[in-house]
Amino acid sequence: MYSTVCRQLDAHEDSIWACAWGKALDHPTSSTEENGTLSPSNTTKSSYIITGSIDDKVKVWEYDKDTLKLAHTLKGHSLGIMSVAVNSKGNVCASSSLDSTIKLWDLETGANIGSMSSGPVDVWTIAFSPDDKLIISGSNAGKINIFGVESLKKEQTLDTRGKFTLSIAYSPDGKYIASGAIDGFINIFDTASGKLVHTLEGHAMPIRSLCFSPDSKYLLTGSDDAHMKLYAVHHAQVVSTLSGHGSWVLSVAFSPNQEHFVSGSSDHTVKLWSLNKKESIQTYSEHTDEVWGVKYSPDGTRILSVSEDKSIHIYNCPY
Amino acid sequence: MSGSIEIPLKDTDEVIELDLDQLPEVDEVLHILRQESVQLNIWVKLALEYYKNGKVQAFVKLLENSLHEANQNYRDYEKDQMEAYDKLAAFYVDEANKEKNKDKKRDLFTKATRLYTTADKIIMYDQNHLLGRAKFCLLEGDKMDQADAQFNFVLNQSPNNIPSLLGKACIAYHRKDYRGALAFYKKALRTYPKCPADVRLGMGHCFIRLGNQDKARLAYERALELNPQCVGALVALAILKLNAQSKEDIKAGVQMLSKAYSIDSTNPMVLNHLANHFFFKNDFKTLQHLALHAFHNTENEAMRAESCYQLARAFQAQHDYDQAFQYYYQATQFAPNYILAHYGLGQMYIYRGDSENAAQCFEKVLKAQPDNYETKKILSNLYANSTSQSRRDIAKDYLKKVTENFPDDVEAWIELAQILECSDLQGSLQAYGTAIRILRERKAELNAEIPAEILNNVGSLHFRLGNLQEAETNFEAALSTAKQEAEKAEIEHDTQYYNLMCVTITYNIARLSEALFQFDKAETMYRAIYTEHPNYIDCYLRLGCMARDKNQISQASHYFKTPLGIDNEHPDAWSLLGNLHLAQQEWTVGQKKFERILRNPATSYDSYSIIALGNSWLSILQQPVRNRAKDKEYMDRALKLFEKVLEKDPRNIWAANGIGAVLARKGYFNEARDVFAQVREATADFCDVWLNIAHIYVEQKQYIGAIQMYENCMRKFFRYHNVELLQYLGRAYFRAGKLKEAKKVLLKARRVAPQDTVILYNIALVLQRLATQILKDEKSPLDVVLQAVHELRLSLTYFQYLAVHGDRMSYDLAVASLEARQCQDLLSQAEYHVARARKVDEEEQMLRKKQEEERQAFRLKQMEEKKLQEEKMKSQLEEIIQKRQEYKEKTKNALIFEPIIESKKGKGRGRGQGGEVLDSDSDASARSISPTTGEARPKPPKPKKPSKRSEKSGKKKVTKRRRDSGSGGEDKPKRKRERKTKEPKAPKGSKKKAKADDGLSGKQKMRIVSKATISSDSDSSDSDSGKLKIVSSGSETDKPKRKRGRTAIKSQSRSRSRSRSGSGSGSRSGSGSRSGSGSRSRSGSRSRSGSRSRSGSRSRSGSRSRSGSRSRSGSRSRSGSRSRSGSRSRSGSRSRSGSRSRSGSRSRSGSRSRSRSRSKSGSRSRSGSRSKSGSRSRSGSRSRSKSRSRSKSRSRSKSRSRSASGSRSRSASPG
Repeated sequence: MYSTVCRQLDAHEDSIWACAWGKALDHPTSSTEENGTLSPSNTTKSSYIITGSIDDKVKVWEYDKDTLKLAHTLKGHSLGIMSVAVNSKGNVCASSSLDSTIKLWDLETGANIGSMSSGPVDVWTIAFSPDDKLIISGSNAGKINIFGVESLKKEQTLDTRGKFTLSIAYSPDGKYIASGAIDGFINIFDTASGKLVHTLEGHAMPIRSLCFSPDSKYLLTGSDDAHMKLYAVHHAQVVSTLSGHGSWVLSVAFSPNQEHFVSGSSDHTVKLWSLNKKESIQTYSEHTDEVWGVKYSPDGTRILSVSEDKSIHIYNCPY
Repeated sequence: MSGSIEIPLKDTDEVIELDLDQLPEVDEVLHILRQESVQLNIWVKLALEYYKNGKVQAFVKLLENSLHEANQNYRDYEKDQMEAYDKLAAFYVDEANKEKNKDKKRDLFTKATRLYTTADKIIMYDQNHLLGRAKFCLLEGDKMDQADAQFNFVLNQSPNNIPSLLGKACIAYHRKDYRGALAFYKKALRTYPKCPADVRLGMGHCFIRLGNQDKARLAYERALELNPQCVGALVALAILKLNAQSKEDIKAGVQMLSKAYSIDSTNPMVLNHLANHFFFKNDFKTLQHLALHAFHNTENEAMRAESCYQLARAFQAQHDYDQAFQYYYQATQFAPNYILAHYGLGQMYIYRGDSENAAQCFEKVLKAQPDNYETKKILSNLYANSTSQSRRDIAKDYLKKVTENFPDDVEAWIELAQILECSDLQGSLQAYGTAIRILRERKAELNAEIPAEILNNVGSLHFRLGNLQEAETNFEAALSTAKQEAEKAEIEHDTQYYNLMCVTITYNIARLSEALFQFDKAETMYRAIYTEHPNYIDCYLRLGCMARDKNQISQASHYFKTPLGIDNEHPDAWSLLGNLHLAQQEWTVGQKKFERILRNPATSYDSYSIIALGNSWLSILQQPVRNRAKDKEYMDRALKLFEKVLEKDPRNIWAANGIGAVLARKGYFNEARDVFAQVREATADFCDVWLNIAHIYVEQKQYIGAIQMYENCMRKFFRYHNVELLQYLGRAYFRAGKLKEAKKVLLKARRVAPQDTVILYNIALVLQRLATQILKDEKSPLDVVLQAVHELRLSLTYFQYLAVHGDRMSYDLAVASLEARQCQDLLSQAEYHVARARKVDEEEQMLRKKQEEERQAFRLKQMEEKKLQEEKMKSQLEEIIQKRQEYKEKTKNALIFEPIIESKKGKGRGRGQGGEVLDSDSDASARSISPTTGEARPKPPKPKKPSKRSEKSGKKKVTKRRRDSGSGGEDKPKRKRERKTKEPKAPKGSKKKAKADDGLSGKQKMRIVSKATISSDSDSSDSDSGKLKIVSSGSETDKPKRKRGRTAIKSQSRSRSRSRSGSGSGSRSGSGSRSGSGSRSRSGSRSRSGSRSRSGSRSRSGSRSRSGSRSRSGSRSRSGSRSRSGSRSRSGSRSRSGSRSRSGSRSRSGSRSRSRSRSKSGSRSRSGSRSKSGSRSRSGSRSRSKSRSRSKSRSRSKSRSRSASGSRSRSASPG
């Protein structure tokens, strides 16, 4: 029932640090280009997976029928890609690298359609706003930078007054921005007012990943203390503390139907959790090194994980 | 001499005739004798008659008077005088022999001696005199040689002198020359077939000694025929019967004994044997009576020992251990070689908790009976608790032998397993496995499930070995068994015991959950435990450790402090607190905690604390800001502390590592490396040593080795990106000149620690160097150059940023701005390089284009040629066709087709040739191209320049460096440091292992790592890398950490021993239980970590084992063996607690033992005792074991042989 359906070994030259999974696109043009016999119904099924690695390359893979095909290799970053994000339409992706630049790419053509940079240390992980108009990024000294996708400029800065913002998430309903700091604090901003509404002392160690549930009611965090915490956003209260990983939790993601969530850890495992039971229901231990990123496919039937071991794994996860 | 004696009257021929049947009063006779001055020989004769009539007093009186008053004026009077003396002496000797009172006995002996001495003066060598003397010597004891000489003398004169022969036989028997004795007896018998029964008896004993039971029985029976009253024969036969071990025989034996008793109710041998019989009948009163009687009726020490032993045994069976002890003690005093008594005494010592003396007793037993396995088991049991390693090894050897000889002995297997728990986990597990298998096989027979304790122990062993799944199954099985037992238990104590066991198992499961990373489950369990048992300190400590691992320092500190309310000196709690402070770099506070532990007399040699202190001094040395003047003092302090530990425990790897670190700091790298290498040989599971060795490699410029070491270490010990380690690795790459790898490694570090400006600094530095290198290399292609320039720009921005926002504590901001300027310089030069590269690139492109064009042209040309050729061929073909047509027309024959075919072939060939030509052409063109490219490239003088440049750059760096050092009095940043880590850890390798497998361990260790920086400020040799190093070092602190595990259930620590005996059929078990003291081993790791979590893992190792110990009821000898007459087992139960190791740095072990023995009715008693010993180690698991033993005694043979010896002493007196 739970199985690995696709495995791409040596997808990059070195550790893969980031991944994203875009919504399936109707791109009849590309499909006809590649193969005139492909029917339109098939083409809608294929979607893009984006991976970023320390080898400075962003790779765009076309995922179709449990096979991965390299569509584009995007070059231009230096010092390693630490975060990639896809907009909600699935046609544009953003990538950020350690040299503090954000680049925007057209997924279909592989063209660089924009580049933003800020101070030498002012960009970290990135996320699109639900309306695709903004890109938010964590930053040095607890700041959150908001860039306009159109303007390619920093439009706003939110200040948590805390430490380095390691992780960041935009709630699907667009109301909140949550950030996790290197000292374990979680800050939630109201996007409308730009004000800090909650500060949670959830962990005492770096929070490397956080995400909202699809209905925006819950916030899930993963930390170096090997625990994950689930918060109710509205009350800012801990709903549950989950343990099961043996090392840092590097990445967390909710399933689109909100029944499950998935986590990747330094202990080389990917764990699938049930939101109702608040316990791990499946563990994938096929990576041989740290799992830097996990993501659900937009339809929720697959899970993607990327690892320090240079491989991409895709798992089947039936509802 | 028929009927009368004549007394001649003085001066007449008349005689007075005395009728022997009616002897007159002695005084009357005396009067007559005096008056008539009768010759001495008459006196003697008369006296003899009186003696024969049983009038002993008259006999004495007559003889005594005769010596002074009788008429001695006749021939040969001397002979008569001799006779008188001898008779009287012999009488006294006889009396003395019968006399039990020592004083009187001595008096009589003195009298006899006097008389013999007087007699000696008269005729020295009279046969009868000599015989008398010899017998006297024999009886007096210890004059055997003299007696032997006298017998020999007599035998020389008359070879068939029977008394002498018997005497010789007796002596031979005493000298254990049983064959000789038998020969003498036989000779006597041949000479005088009517010998009394005693001769047969003696022969019988000889036969027994020679192992010939049948002949012995015949001899005894013959003796009994001759003399139905012969007690010796009766007893001997009875023993033979009893030994036959069948019901009838025993009955017959007992009847014989009672007959013997009726014949001689004071014979101690009979009494003792009867007592023995009554022991088996459980009639202790009678036994006591008989034994006391026997005791008072003999002077013979062996017999007395036997009596005492019987008494002691009776008391032991009645649980009166004090009395039993006294009697056993007496028995051993009487007969130091009486091993049964030693065995009993040993048991009593165990009961009293005096294991030292007990061990001595059992050693004696074992010396006499080297194969006695009961004794071996008991001894090994005693030694297993011993603190001395050698003794534990002895115990292990004994148990191994026992298990070899009796592979079905569950108890021995369990015990072996327990001993191995500390040293050989696999072996221990196997032993437990065997025990469990035996238990399963004999399930029906034993009517018992596999005890929860064993399951628990097996679980904890698995835990320690890292087989977490198996551990889980075992713990769960243990828990359910324990719960069932708790429900079944009828007695409150039992219920309590099992409930406590459940707590322990629950704790173990919680520990396991932690190892499986189910922290929430573990936490719930710990909380449940301490709500119910607020004294269960380990729960608090574990909870604290978990909080600490989550970096929740204040909560951790709260948990660590809680136990101090229960036990203010709890060393584990203090050391965890101390570590917590050290991790926060609160050196003084942390050190105070450890000093406190060391002040407590109970823990004044706690190696863990000492090492932690030493490490803290080393850590202080690594602080960027400190009083440099005190460096030396701190180093010496640390050194002293480590040395102190090594004195006590020369194999302590943590102390050795610390010493290595001090050496390295002082610059003795070779020596330090040797030390580290040794530590590493001792264990591969100690990450700090790997690091330290790598540091040394770096120091000695063996970068390849260092890099390998770092990488292995990272793979082996850390699952996540350890920033510190990545920085070391980056530095090693940098110094090795592998800038690209250095960059990658540093980027990885930055990925996980983006806030760390030191890493940023290093990245900037590497980028700058890399760009420099690329730009100088004139062969660099354009895109690489462009990339390098881009990175150079980044480097510039980073340095500029750092010059403002950098961490002043870690490096000098001014240097950052210098570097920034350097970047700028490079950037300005970069234009040139870019231009050059672009030019080269363009040239190359041009060249390529040209070549391409040439190739194109060539291809065109070829095409043309081909076309031409084809055309030519076509025309040829046409020509041929035409010709053929013509020919055809000319010939018009059947052969028409042939030529066509041929011509086709020909065509084919032609084409083929054409192809070849083409190929060769293209080859040629390729060739022509290659030379041109070859020329194009060589322009830059390749290999040498780079090296020159690098030299140059090296120089530059040097100068820079000088500048730096010049500028900074506070040369903090420049300093190169090396850090060494040390980690005091708990001793148990095993525990560590358990940890090692889980993530915890990694963390802990990491925390643990304390590194000493070796700062070689003065060391300018590696100037170029100096900055890098500096930077990396600045951020770190090292901490000593320790892991320890401890667990203990305080509340249970009381030991209780209980024995219940079941129904009355007479089993009795004496159980003495000893409770040991609590053992706690802490080994665990306590670690502290720097900024990140620290926790340790304390592994609690397994051993809190409550080990069950096993009581072993030593059954002893005589006891059980006759099971049919009722069972009796005596069990001394001892409980021992198992485990503990305090090996390395700190383990303290507390064991609590509780033993209980139960005996059930029936013939076998089973006593199971359990002891729990908690040892706490924090590694974790605790085990408890329990064994039930059924003891059967098997020392039957012993007792028998013993009794034989008893009789032997008896036989010494020939009749």
